[in-house]
Amino acid sequence: MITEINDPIEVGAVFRKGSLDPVWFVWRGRKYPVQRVTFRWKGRSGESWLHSFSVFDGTNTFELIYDSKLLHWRLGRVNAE
Amino acid sequence: MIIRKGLQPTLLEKPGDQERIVLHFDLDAFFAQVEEVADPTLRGKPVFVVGHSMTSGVVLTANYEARRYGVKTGMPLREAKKLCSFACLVPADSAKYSDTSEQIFAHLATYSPLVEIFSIDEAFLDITDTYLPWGTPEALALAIKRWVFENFRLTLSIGIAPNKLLAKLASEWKKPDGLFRIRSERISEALESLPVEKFCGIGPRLAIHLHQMGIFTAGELGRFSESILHKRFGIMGSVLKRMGQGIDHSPVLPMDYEPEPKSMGHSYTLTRPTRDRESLFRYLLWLSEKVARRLRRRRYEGRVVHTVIRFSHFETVSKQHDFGFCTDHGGTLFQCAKRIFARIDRPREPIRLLGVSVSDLRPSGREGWLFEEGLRERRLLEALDAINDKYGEFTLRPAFLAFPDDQKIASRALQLFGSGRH
Repeated sequence: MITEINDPIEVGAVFRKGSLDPVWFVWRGRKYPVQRVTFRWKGRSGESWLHSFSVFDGTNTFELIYDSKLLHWRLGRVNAE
Repeated sequence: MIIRKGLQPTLLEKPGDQERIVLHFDLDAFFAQVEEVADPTLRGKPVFVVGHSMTSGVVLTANYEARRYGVKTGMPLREAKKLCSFACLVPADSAKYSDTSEQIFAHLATYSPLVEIFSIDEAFLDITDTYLPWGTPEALALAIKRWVFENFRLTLSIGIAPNKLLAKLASEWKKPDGLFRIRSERISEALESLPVEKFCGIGPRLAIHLHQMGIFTAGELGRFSESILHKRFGIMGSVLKRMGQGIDHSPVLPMDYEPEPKSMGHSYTLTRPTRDRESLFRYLLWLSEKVARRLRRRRYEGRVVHTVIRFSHFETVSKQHDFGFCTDHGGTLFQCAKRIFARIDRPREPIRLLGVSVSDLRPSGREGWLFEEGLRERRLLEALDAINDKYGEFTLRPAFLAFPDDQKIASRALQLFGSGRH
């Protein structure tokens, strides 16, 4: 079931050859490993570019959003079994 | 066109009749496929991509698993759920689809300068003069399919034919993940038993008219008397006859081509029909501002305003008003749209759709600003546009659109007209 969340999260990410890859994130005190980035896209919100990532932890899919102006991450939505 | 002295040009020498190679590119069940790639837990399950309300409205796209149950794009969600109650519902994400589509279309431009974007997930390419490095048109098509899959894990169908009409038909031939070519010498064979409704441009209503005339297949349409078709459908009759013969001279237009607009407008279907006139006026102002922004962006003004209302029982009424002068000002358009609204409104009936458009367009700036007041207003609009260009649509907006008393409408409107759902 897809649930909209929009919580701020802590993210560990790797910047590599012009690409940004989240590798883990902490949400509500629990650390989730990113097994795979399944899709990525970007869009504008005012002056910010939002870089969005669909990530899979092996069980569930999460949407992580990085605001490149404010330099913060949030969890957009979760599809939990 | 080459016309030799003393010779009549042959049919092949007419513009558009020369053997072109047109490719139609169509991403399979695009929105649903993107969601399936983004979320591996959806794979193999029937998926409906729906609006943000998730409870009403229509199915924007259904994946192929859902289509097996008879679910189609545009079907009311309630009806779709009856056919496939266990489908996964995913709210549409326009930023996700448009960014993906833009990246793919930008890549298509590396195969030909003639790429015409037909919709968010469809494009035509004229590869007549550019396919040779790949050897054959089919090899070029396979290279596109491979690139899209390697970069996005998305499949698509490609049709190749001597014109756009047939290329679009060909891409439908072997969906999904298909590649099909209609060669010029096989056109008659391909069209002979093809149902007329398979043509892009022949919808269910037109198909019924054709069936009533005993025309069921493209072959029958191509052989039918042009004068009878003309009598029944006007100039469209000749177009239909040519469709039946597989003839289409329309060129593939380059991506940056923008035809002269005849009118500009926006409409909006409400999540639920409403009688609340104040909410409706807000939507009307929003639509008017949206139209005005579009006019100013393309440097046009218009003098005839049209307002359209669709009542809950689907009756659609519209009226127009000629200002007598040209404008690109949202507030002025709104005042006029509101007056027209009052003329066609039936206060007891809920309304499900509103639309505002402007016609009789001309390039802006013809009527100079003689008075200080007009100049000040113009400068204010320019400043507002500059801010909204920088920070996103409707960052600055009329106070009436702040929706202090209706947060639901506010958030919906912001999704629609704001810079995205983020």
